Amino acid sequence: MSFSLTTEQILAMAPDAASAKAGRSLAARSKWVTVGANDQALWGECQGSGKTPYQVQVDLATGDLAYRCSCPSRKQPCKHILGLLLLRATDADAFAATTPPDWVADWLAKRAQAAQKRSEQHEQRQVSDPAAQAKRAIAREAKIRAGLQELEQWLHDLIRQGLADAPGHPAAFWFTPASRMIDAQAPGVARLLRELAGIPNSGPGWQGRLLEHLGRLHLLIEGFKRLETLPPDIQTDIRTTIGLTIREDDLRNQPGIRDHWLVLGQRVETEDNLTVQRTWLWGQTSNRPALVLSFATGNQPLDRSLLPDTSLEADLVFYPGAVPLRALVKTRHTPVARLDPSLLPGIPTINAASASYAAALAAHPWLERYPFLLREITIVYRDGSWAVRDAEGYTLFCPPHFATGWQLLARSGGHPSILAGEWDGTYLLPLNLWTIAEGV
Amino acid sequence: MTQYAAPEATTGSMYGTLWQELITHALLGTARQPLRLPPPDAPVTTVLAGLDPAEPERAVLGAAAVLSLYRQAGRLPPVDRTPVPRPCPPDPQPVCSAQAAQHLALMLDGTHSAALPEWLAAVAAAGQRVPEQHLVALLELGQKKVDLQAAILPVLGERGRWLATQNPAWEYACPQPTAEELLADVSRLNAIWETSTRATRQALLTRLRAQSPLTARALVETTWKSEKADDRAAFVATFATGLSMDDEPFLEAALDDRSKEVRRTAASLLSRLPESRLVQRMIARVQPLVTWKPSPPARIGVTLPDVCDKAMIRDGIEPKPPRHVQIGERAWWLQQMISATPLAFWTQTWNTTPADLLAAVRLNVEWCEPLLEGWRMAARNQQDQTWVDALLTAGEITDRTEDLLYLLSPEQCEAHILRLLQTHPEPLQSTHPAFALLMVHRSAWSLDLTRAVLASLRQRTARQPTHYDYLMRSMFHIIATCLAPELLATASAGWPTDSQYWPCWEPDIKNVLALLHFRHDMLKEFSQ
Repeated sequence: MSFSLTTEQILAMAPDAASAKAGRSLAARSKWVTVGANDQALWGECQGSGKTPYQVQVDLATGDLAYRCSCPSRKQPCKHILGLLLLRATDADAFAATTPPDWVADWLAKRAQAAQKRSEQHEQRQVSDPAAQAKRAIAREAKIRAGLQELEQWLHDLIRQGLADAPGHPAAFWFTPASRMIDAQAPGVARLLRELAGIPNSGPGWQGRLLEHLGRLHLLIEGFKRLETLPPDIQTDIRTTIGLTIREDDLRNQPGIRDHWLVLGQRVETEDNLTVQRTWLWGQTSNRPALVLSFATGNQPLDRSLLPDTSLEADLVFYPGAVPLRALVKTRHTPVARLDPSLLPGIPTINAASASYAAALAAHPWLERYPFLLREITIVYRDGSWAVRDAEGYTLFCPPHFATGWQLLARSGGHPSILAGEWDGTYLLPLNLWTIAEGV
Repeated sequence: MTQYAAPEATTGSMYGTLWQELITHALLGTARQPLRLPPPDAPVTTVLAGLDPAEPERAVLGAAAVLSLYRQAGRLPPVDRTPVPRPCPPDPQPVCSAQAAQHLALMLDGTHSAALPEWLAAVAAAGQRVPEQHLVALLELGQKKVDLQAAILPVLGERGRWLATQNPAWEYACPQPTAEELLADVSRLNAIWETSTRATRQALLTRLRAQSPLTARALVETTWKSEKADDRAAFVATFATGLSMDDEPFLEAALDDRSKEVRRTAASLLSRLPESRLVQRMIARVQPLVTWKPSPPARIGVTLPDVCDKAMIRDGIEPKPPRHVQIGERAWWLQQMISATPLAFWTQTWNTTPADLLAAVRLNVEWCEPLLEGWRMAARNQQDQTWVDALLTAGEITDRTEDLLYLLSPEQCEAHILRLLQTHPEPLQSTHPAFALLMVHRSAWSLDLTRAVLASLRQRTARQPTHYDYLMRSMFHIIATCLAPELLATASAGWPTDSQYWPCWEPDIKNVLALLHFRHDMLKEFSQ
């Protein structure tokens, strides 16, 4: 394949800033004893502090950009991998097209074998003990039911006494019921409760925001109480919001939607010890969004196989629900290629995007984020706030702490651009921007 | 501007009223008042009618869920029709190569950032610009490092200049009106003059002085009487640019200013004008006091002045020497007179050269210092390269007056370093006479100089340890940014790695070579 990664995409793979910096330092031909490439792989030998140079290799043929380095670093990818990729992105001439040395050929062969084995195993795998699993599920639901009952009482007490005192409550006031919901195995509800803690001191209008969140929580409790009476999609949404997620393995067996998927952007957030990576995709033909989540605790690496500004032909299986957004990549049909901005469909006006959000919210009241892919918008900065505006003048605001507005403005040059962002009902968080001139 | 307030506004509709009532209710608490549900006369209130007032908490929460969802789904984005800034025009300047951009990113990140000025100069020389994604970091860097601003401006391109116009913090990078444009628009000029800060006004004056000293002076005169002392001193200092006899009457009048700083600056500027009245008065004072006897060996005779009168003080002569200067009062007066006398006066009147004068003055053992110091000050004030060169050749530049070296041209500087390295073959260290010049000579070194310094350093590393020579170690930083990168191969080899002192030198030398290597790769991107 042709190498299509940009330096930005490669740096986005870096596990931390130090690795990115070190990788950049290694992106010079003089740092490498040998480098080489063919259609399938990229390799090089980098002189480290030891006697033998590190053997660095990247498998380009499989879609998910696998790599290996013989250095002892536990960071994934290490600085040598990043350096090799960066060198390839900025100085392609340095790479002689040759046959790979034995250490590369061996690794590629092993990878092919392992992939074969995995797919065979996967077909054989079955649920270990369906009866025990069903029993566990019933026990968990009972726990949740009890927990939500207790929470309902807490919520009613709160409303009975009034919300006026809320700004004076210590954080523990909100965190205690949140911990109880963790005990009740309803982590989704716990998260909603923790989010409440910040609202009473979030500035003017907190009363409305707090009541809004409490209303949404109430709706969830009520919904769970009469779960069986609701349509299946809404049942799923309620279960997912509470934290009863569907197992990935169960989804993998279902048919996927094949499309040319454009990777629009990525957002990584860390709460406590859990890092969540949201990758937004858009189907070129299906013209629908998809969200791929990756979770990591502690120093675990996030899944870096979907890089913004790339695209791939793949089957995606969507998690069920009234507004199916979350998906997993079931099968990749092509390796990643660079995203061609002229293929971005998008919605021409902010009004149309708002209408699609309203429809989604009506179907899924607990929807937290909805992707907007807007065409022909302009980045606006006024009085210290960033906003995006369409040709009709309709305006959406970026979050107050949005920090990379100048970068977007530098890239757009004030020309109408295509923008991908996350809309949370109040603010639009920009994820990526393409100038239309680039797409022509 | 209401549309730019936090998007929290509720409409004055029925919905808005309902929502506000519900918030009030929830704030007070259901324990304090009964819940009243609205009549089911609209779709949303019909939904609310399904709630049971007998369970007020559930009803309030249910209504909150319904109304807030209703609001969120139905909200229309605000419309803003205020004009947006004109988009950035297309840029004919080509972007630098991807590899060059990679080097920039590395330096912006803090690695090898000592080479950034050189990189910026190379991009500018190649007529290229910085890619869009690095503009913000570069503009922010210029905001923090004022000395980099001039090098940043040429590589910003249309996009960078366009971006800078939208962020007040990047004003330095905005296209500035040229002096011609300002001169053509007097009302705008006056408006800027009357409303700007001292720094902006000073910068404006300096720019105007280069084009039209007369206009600049006229502008200063419009508000001169009402300016504060610090401002007056700052403005009169800009007269150094484009200084001529046209300024003489104004400066002569400034000798009577209330502010000492203004008087001092005016006197200093007047002493650079050989025809000024101040210079004539100074010559009349000094001529009878200093005499020249050309019979070989040439000698200089000195008589000290008897008094320091009011006229002398007006011309900038300080009656009392500063406490830290060990000098008699009368010698101090003479020294100041010499420093305010044009250097050309001596060589012309006595038909001699600076070198001969410097040789002769040493023969006057008693009054040699006031004369030398006077000439050094004159050379500094009059920015006379020939005299600095002669002082340096004669070995008359002391540690205390090393700032004079900055007046030398790079060629003069390099010639002196090469000469000193040859005449003083001991290995380079901070006490070497060439050391101070090496610290001054920041521009790229020639191949000859690079070879000479490398040779000297190799000797040093073979023979002596580093310890305690901190100045020497600080010089590595400069060496690394100045060595000619063409000689990378030469520089990398030939170090005395088996010397017993090598381990203590190795880290510094390795750093020097790493930066040299980087500069070599970096400049290669611009050599095709």
